[in-house]
Parts: sequence; structure tokens; C-alpha cells
Amino acid sequence: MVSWIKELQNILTSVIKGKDRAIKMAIVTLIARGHLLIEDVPGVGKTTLALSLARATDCSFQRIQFTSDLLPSDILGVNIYNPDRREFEFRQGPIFANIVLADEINRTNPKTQSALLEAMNERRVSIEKQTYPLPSPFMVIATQNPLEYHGTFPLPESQLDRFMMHLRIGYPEFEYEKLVLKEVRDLESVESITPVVSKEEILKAQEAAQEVHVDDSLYDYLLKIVARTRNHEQIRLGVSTRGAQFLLRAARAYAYVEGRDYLLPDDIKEVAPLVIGHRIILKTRTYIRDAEVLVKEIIEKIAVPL
Amino acid sequence: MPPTYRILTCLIGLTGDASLLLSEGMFMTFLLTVPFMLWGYYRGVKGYPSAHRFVVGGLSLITLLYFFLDVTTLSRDVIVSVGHLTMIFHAIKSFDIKDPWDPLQVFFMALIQLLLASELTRSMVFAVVFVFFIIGMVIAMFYSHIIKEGGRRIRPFVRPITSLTVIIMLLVVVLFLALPRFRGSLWGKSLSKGIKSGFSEKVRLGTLEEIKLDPTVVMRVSVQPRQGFRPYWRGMTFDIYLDNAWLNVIAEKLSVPGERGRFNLDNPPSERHFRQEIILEPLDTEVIFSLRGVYRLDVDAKRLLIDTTGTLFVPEKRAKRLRYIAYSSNKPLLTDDLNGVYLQVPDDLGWLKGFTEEIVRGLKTPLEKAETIQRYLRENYRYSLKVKPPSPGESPIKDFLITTREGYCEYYATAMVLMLRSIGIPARVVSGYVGGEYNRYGDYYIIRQKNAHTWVEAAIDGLWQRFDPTPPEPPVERTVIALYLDFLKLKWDRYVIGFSRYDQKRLLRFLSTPVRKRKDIDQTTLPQRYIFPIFAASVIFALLILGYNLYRRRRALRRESIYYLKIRRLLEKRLDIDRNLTAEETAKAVIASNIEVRTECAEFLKLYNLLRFGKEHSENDIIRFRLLYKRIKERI
Repeated sequence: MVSWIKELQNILTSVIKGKDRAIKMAIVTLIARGHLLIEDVPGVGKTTLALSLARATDCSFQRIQFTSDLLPSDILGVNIYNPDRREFEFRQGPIFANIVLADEINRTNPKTQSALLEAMNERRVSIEKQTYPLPSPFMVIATQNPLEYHGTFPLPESQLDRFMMHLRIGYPEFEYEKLVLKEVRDLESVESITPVVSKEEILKAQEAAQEVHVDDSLYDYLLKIVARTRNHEQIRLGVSTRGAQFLLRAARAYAYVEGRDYLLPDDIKEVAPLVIGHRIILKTRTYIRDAEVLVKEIIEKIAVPL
Repeated sequence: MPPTYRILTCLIGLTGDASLLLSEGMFMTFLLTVPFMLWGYYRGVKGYPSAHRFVVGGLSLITLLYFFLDVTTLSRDVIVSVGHLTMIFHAIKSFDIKDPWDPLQVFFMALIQLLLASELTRSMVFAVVFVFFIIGMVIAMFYSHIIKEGGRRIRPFVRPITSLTVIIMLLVVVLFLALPRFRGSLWGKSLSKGIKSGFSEKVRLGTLEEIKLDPTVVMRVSVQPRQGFRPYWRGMTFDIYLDNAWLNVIAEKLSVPGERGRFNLDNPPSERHFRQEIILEPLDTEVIFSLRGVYRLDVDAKRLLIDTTGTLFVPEKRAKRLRYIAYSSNKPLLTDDLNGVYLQVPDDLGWLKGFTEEIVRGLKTPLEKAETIQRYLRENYRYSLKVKPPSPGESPIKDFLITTREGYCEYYATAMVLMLRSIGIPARVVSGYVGGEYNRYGDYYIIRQKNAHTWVEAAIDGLWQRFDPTPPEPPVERTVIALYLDFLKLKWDRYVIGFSRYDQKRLLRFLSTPVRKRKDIDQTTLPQRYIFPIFAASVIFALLILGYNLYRRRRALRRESIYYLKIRRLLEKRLDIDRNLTAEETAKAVIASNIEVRTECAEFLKLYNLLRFGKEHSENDIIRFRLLYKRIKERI
């Protein structure tokens, strides 16, 4: 295993206790060049996770609080007339950072949402015929509150598709919650984080992760899972080809984080519920199910390659 | 409901109808229901709405009323009436096929039709229809499943469909072999009606205008050793000629001693004799046929009767084929039963004596005289099946001998017998079958109604010598396919239709006898000759398929996967682990368990992952992997 990943994990777990899996998945997403959507109730550490990830990786960090009156230019930036130089010059919006926390992304209007999502997808911003590349590495961590519906604009499926992973943090377990209460835990502990990895190292890891060896049988395995979501009786819309690509990338990154240079079926099994879960549409009228659980069930039934 | 499913439903309905229409006893008018049915399905496929429910209900009610009429007055047969009923219901239902139960109704009715048909028919075509039905049902099953699951592709189902069909077929065969048998058929219905007879216990002349050659098969006979002469399958004899008809008056029937299944009539002859295995279709007579001079007869019947003239009877009303084995010497019978009756000539044929003496003038021995008469009739008369009835009051024999000079075998035989009698040689008419087509594929004779024949027996030198004054017919050549088909039919009749309790017992005994002792069993019975090779062949075939599948699966696996699978199997015995776990997950389960070699196991599984999915590995990894494999195998 690359040493800094272990270190990064250690630092993050010391800040956010009892959430090893969520932390690991966040790192996997970063290494897979993906974006993360965290859906959970307020106060379980979504923001802390994003912030500490940025701190520990020596990355620039921006936080955008999404509100209903937010405009695309508030995110991307705007051309401002400079009276001294007598010309318009571009002022970068908050999206020009390595790690962007898009807080409560479903609170803003679809126009702004799509501006963000486009930038996420293309990793560049185009304003008035000018194209500005976003910094690298670039990762958006968006959060959503699943319980509030009033005045929200839920992300359509096509946009949910842009996020590599859909993560739920959940309440910490009793022991860890007790630990959280005992310790003085505020933004100070996050502030105290020192970077353990440079941007260059992250970019190298991102490249190396995509070199992870995949045996031919594992492509079959992955596609069998994908195909099953398409003909499952409880699913209305299955996983797209882009979803399959994302799944492979995430699995590779997971294998890399695990310290392997080859993929195992376990990697696919591990990330698939998080990668696939938000990409399928259930026949909700008939089956009130949790997509993630359903994906797990599907995977259990598909024969592991020998 | 997709149109394909509708078409499939229609096809299954059609197999049901076809099975009934191919059987005997159904009114052919009901063929008309088929176009209606097709029309109904056509409408369904085209997407027209189904018929109004009042129309369907009303028609169904009328059909039910018709059914009662059918049972009580029209066909007076429950099976046939139910068959008619299902055919009409099929037609009505075809206009009203809705999801999801209506196709099932159709399938169920088709099944009932097949059951009815199995009772009504003995035709081999039924087997073909049955196979179609099974295939259709299996496809329908899978198809309805595909529809329900929302899938579109049929291709992945081709293999399960075929294998399931084969399994069902095998099950049917096993069930067929094992099902308990009773005398008679399942419904106790007689099947004998509808078979026209060429052989009759009465021989009457001058009433029929024209005889049509009836190609219905009467019996099939395999003779051993094969004889070189034209076989005469002797039926019964006639002694008195009265009012232009032959009667059997003097013969007395006696019961033949013998236990069930085997009757001894005489001591076996020292010279050559013939063993005939005969399968006789249901006929309207108790007479059974064989070469003359029967000394032993094996037949599954309670009693066997013989009369003084050597005619054999099985006095049971037969609904099924009768299978028997006759052992004959094929020598002329002794004239122990000689009687004055055999010299009887009707009064109005007084002129016959002069007519005959003219022919045999100058000849001394009765044998010469008889042969001359036989030759005279053969050479001077023309064989014809079309005989004009004589003018009223005229004797048909006089008409034949003097006026028309043409007739068929009964005329020839009658004429010769009466001519012999008129010059003092006792003679009688014998009826039965002659010749038959020899089928070289199955080594047996096919004897049809058109082979029915009458000939002459004359008492000369203490023996009933056979004469046949009828001119011989040119032999008929059949095509290879026709002969082979008939061979198949014979086997079908013998082993499917005629499969009896005794066959079951024999099969059981055969299967429970060690191979070495099998020589003791009567080698001549057919199932033993064929069943073992078939059984062996199917076992070998199954093993080959199994081996091929294993080979294919193994070939697809890498060596490390085979090792891994073996260890997995061992672990599965010890631990409660799911079959679909990955190696990592298995390793976790093993670590958490109390297996003593758990660390080795974990290392083994990790190495497996590396070897199986890894990019590269060293020679040492492989050596270590094998070492671990051996160690775990020894100690687990």
C-alpha cells in the first residue's frame, strides 16, 4: 500500500471517528477522479469529512452553500470590467479549487445545479467563449439532506449519474459517539491537520490506479452485475454504460487503496452498491426498497469468477 | 399478451385437436372446428378485441346441451363426446384468449384431448403428436416465464428448453414402463369397432358385386426358420354348401389342456418345424391363424379351443391385439375327422358330376384327379374381383363354371371342392390368409385383409392335402420406406400398444438378473434382445455428455482455480459458508473459525487471488501455493 494513503486514513479517522468506511470511500473517489455525493441528515460530519480531506491533502478547498437564489456565476465566476486596464477580466468563482464542497446541492435551482454538474463533468469552465481549466486534482463533494423536501430541487437521475459514489455516513456507533462527546471536537481539530500528501502524489496515484490489472473474467463479472440491473423485475432503469465505466474505475481505485496492483472480485463487490445504487430507478410503486440493499442482493446472487 | 405466445397457445390447441382427429371414432364433421379456431387466434394475433362474453357464454351453453345429446343419442360414447366437446370449446375459446389463465385452460384442454386420444387411437402418429405437445408445453412454460420477467431474449433458454424436454420424455418412458397394467384399456373401451373384415366366418357366394382390396393390416408374422414356400395362414374350414353359402356344421370345439400362457396340442414333431410369432389385430372373430399342424401355442389367454378340423379359437372378446407364438409342423393334417358331410353336393348341382368326369377322364388316382382339376381351374378361368350376381334362381357356381368363367378365390375353391365331391373325393373349403408381404427389415410378413383367401383341402391317402385352384397373383413390390415404416409400426404395436403386465415382469426380471446368467432367459423374446443395447447405449451417451461438460468446465478453469475449488469444498464441509463467496471473504470466514490450519488457509486464499487475478507472480508463489494446498488437504 502506498504509505500516504494509510497516513491519510489515520488522520481522517482521528478527526471523524467510527466512519472508516466512509473515509475510505472518499479517498477511493478522489483517486478514481470521481465526485462524491453524500446524502445524510445534518450533523453527522459531512462537512468535516470534506474539509479534513482537503486539509490533509494539501489541496485548496472551497465551500459553496447552495441556496435557492444562487446563480451559476456565483459558482463559476464572472467577467468584471477593470476600469484601470479598460477591459473585462475573469474573476474565478469558488469552483476553482481542488476540493469543492457543494453543501445542500438540492437547495438551488436546476440552472445553477447544471452549471456545477457540467463543470464537474468537463473539468473546465467556459464563460463567454473563454475556457478556463479547473485545477487538478479536482473533486466535488456534494451533500444532500434526504429529509427536507420543501423548497428543494431534487437532482434528476441524469445528473446523479455524474457522481461516482453516493455515500451515506449515518450516525456513529454508540462507542464512537461517546468518544466524540468526550473529546473537544470542533473546527480546531480540523484546522490542526497538516498535509500528508502533495497534489503531485495524488495525481500520480490517480494515474497508477487506472493501471491496476483487471483479469478478463472480472470484466464479465462486472458486466453481469450491470446486466442484471437492467433485467431485474424490481428495477425500472438499470445501469448505463457510463455507470459500468464508473464502477470499473472505482473498483480499480479501491484495489489501489487496498495496496494491490490487480483487481479482485471483492473490489467490485465492495464499491458496486455505492456506485450503482443511485444510478438505478426502482419500480417504487410496487417495491419500496433501498436501492443499495437491492444491489447488494443482486451481487450476492451473481457467481463469483473462479 | 405477445402474439408469439398466442401462436404458441394455438399450436398446442392444434396438437390436442390433431390427436383426436387422428384417432378412430371421432366424427369428421368436427374437423370444421379447426378453421374456426384458427380464425379466432388470427383475430387475437391481429389484435381484434375478444368476443363478447354473452356470445361466448351462450355458445358454451349450447355446446354443453349438445354434449348431453351426444352422449345420449349421437355417439353414445362418453369418451368420444368429451372429445367433441373439447374441440368445440377450443374453437370458442380461441375468440376469447386473455391473460393469464386462458392459455392455461387451452393447455389443460389439449392435455385432456391427448388423454382421450391415447384411449381412442393405436396409431403411431399419436407418438409424434405427443412429442409435439410436450415440446410446445415446455416452450410455453419458459415463454410465459420470460414474459413475466420482462426479458426479451429466448436464446439463453434454448438449452434449458431442450434439456427439460428430453428429461420429460425420459420420464414419460419410465412412467410408461412402470405404470401398472390391467386387462383391457384404461377406460375399458373396446377398440375393435371400425375394422373391416376380409376374413369372415361365413363364406357366401353371389351376393357381392365387387370386392375392394382392403389394405388394412390383419397380422404380422415372423417365422423361424424362414420357409421357402408361399405361406398359408390357416383359419377355419367349411363343410356344408347350402343356399350358395358355406357352413361349418360338424366341427366340435374342445378345450385344449394347458396352463395359462402355454398350450400343448401334440407332441413336437421330430422333423423341422416352424415357430411363428404372430401379432393379430382385433378381428370380429375368435379364430386365430397359423401355419397348419400346430402342436404348441403360447398365448396370454385363459382358454384355447380347437375343433376337430384343426381350427383354433381364443374365446375372448378382444379389444387389443393378440400376440401369440405358434409352433407348427406345416404338414397336412390327418383325416381322422373324415365324415360323410365332406361328400355333400347340393341337389341342384347334379350336372357337376358329368362336368367333372369329363375333365378327369382316364385318370386313376385321386391325387392325379385333384391336381388335374386344380390345373383346369387355374388355366381356364380368369381371376376377377368384379363378379356380376347371377340371375335369380341361378346357382353362382354354375354361373362361374359355365357362363362367366371369372371369379375370385371363393368361387375357385367352392367349385373345386364341389367338383371333387361329385367324383367321390372328400373335400372342404379352408379360409384364412395367404402369403403377405415379406419385410426384410424386420424379417416378418405383413398380412393384410386383401390377403384373405380360401383354398381347398382334399382327403387323399389319409391326409388333408392342400390345393389352391386360384391363379396366383403377381407379387406386389413395396418401397423401402413403406417397409421400414411398417417395421416401425410393428415395433410400436408390440412394445407401446401391446406393452403388458407380462412385459413389465419380464423387463423387471431382465433388469434384476446378473449379466452372466442372462443366457438362461429365453433369448428369443424381443425386449431382451433390444433393451440391453438401448439401455447401454443411453448410459454411454449420458456419460459422454457428462464427461464433455465436465471437461469443458475444467478446461475453462485454470489450474489454481481447480486447487482453490478443492480447498473450498473441504472448507464448505467444515464451515457454514456460502458457495458464492469470494476468496477474500472465505479467508475472513476461515480466520474467524477454529480450523487449525486457518493461517495457512488464509495465505492459500491470498495466493490464489494473486495467481488468479494478479498481473504477475513469481515461481516461488506457485511453489508456495502447491505446498499450502498439500498441507491444508492433509490436515483439514
